[in-house]
Amino acid sequence: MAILINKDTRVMTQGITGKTGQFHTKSCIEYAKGKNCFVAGVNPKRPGEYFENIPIFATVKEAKQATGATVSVIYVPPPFAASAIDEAVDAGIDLVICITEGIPVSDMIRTRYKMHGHKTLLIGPNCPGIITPDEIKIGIMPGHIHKKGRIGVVSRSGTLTYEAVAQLMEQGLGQSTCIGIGGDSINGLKHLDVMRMFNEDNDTDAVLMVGEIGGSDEEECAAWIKKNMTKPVVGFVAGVTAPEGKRMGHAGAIISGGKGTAQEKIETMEGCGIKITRNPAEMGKLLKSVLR
Amino acid sequence: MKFLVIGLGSMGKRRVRNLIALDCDNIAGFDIRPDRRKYSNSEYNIVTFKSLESAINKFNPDVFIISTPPEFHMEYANFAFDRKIHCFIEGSVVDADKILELSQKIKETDTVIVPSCTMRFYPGPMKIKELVEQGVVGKPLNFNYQTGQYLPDWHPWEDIEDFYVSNPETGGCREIVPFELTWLNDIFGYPKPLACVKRKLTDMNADIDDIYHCLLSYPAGVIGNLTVEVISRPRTTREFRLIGTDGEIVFDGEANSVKYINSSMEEWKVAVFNKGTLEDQYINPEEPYIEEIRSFLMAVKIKKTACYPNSLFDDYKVLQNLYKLFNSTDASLVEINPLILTTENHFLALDAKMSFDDNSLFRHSEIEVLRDLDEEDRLVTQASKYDLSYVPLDGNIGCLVNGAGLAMATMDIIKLYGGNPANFLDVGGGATTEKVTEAFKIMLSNTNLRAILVNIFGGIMRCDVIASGVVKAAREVKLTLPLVVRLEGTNADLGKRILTESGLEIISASSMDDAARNVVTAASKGE
Repeated sequence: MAILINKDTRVMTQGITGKTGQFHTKSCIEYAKGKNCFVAGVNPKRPGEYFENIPIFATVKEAKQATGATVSVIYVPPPFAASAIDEAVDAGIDLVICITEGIPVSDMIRTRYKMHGHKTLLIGPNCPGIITPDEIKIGIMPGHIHKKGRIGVVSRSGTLTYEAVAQLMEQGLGQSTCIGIGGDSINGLKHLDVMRMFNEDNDTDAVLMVGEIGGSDEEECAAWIKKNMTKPVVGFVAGVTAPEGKRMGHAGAIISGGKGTAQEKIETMEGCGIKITRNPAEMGKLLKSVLR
Repeated sequence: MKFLVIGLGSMGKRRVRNLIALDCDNIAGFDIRPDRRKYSNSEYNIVTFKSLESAINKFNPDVFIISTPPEFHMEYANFAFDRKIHCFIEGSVVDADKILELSQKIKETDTVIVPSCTMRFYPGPMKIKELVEQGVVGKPLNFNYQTGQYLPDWHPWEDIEDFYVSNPETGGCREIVPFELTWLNDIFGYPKPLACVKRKLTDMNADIDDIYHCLLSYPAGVIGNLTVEVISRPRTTREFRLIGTDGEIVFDGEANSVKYINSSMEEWKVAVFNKGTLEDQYINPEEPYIEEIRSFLMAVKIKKTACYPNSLFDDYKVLQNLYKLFNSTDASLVEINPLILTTENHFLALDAKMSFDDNSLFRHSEIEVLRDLDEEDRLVTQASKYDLSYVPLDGNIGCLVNGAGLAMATMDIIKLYGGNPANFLDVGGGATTEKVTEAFKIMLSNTNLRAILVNIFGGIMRCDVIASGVVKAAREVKLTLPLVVRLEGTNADLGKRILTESGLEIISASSMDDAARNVVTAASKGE
């Protein structure tokens, strides 16, 4: 089953004709069952055209009606990306994955506000996407490093997630689903939301949670885990060496007013019974050690 | 002509008095509150109604004076328009879209509907306008204007929570900002709001910001600072200073005077406006209000909205300013610290700090131009040119990594093994050889470096691209420092081969752990 997506998921690409959209749509089609999964593209100026045999529609609504796609992935440039999310939400898409980095915070605040009362789930923005190995990948992660298995991975980072996956693979551990929830301060699904799904997923035995400085997502998730989680969770939090007040690459990775430090997150998570490694090279080993 | 004053609160009563002063004798009032109806009935001897319906049926007015709280203005104004009743409306604070809509509807009709602009009838602003238009101080460059009155003093007879000023949408400063902009904009044109800092500084019992600092950029290059507050006590504050190319104009609300000077004058010239009393039969405090109603009556008489100095469309534009100021400028941090209260009871910001959302700079060229590259770390600036994310630190191990999370983790593991990272450097997902070369150079400008770690997990980024960049940069700068490289992911083998074949002395690491241990050892040898 995995969570959120599998080989039966039907996906449209918003911004399919841009350089990034083309490159990654192609690599997603080539991955596992991708050829069946990616069924539509959206570009208001180029309806009727095709990209890699995928029909392009003017609007999300039309693409949904014509192809039955229920998931959308967005590679639209930052100034227009929030409206692209809005369009998908209005069209009643189930899951939107926004890869775009650099969306203005105020745009995302508005978009998040508009999403209230809608069923649409959002992953990202500024994220690598989501992959259910050997079935489907939606996003920009290298597919070949993954393998089907029973470990869930959730992270705010891209490459650090790949690192975590590679370490799991060294331990002979495949993944049920891996999700990068994104490095922006205003985003869709949080660690907590994803953790809840992994807890209910029959194909997931344990979860590797990779956090980083900034915000309080990790703390909120930890408190939930303590009360509700029935599966082992291990973690790593990046940024113990990060100075205060400096943005560390990700828009959301900033310690401000002494809040959001890695130390504080690690302590909270450990206080909630989550095993944490201080060594980012030992994420895989640590997870292996907690498997029953 | 028959006038119906809607809302018999303090403004409504004033409008009744204004009309009486202008010899209008057919006045009625409408208010849902019996106490207010009773007061106006006995004090001004006018007929009052408890519902609009009965007022229309029994009184059949030609003109509405709408003096309700701002959120009801448009409802009554549209009601009036549908019945061809002329309207005078108090200052606008909300409903910009409805105001715009109505302003378009009244075009080419005989119905006169205008909003208040009392400030333009005050002697002070009128004198300032006159002086500016005559060019007495040359070309205007900058003004600073502060105005305010302690909110509970507005209606000393009732608690602020009991009247509209404590409504965050319409109350306090939000009402006054457009009120003041109507006269400032009349003189200087329609501004582009640059920034607004709004705060609640006092513990007054209302959910409102009690101060707005508005920074405004006017068309002819004038920069204005409008400070509207509701904290000045015991008296009203109204202080305006305009600096022009050839002199200054100062409006002092306390002294009720405007003074000005220019290079051809030896001394300030002062125009004092007597705060006359009713006995003086000269300017009394009601005068600007009366003048404004007089102007409205003229417009109604000839059925020409344009004959009145303000219009709904002007108010719409002012509200656009207000909204922009309210939503500010995509600022992510606004801080005033310290803020002091002077012995003269004025707040003074001694220092302030604002930071803006980098992601939104594409739509804020006015903020982008404020960027002072001399104030920035040269390397950070250089990095941002190439879309690299660089943060200098105080250690001696340079790190070049792709991805923010992995870059932080790389710093962390260096520290864990007893080393000290010299920087955070994320080359991002789609780096080219050129970008990697530049990243390398930036990192190497740090003279504290004793060793370098390149940690790449190739996803989108291909390891061979990174390897070529590293080799190119190492040659260009004639690298002598120990260099540890760990390549993993897409095209890792090809990348490793490029490094080996380069003939450069490179310590190749098989994992992140291996890489960190190696670089820490190398750095400690180099010390």
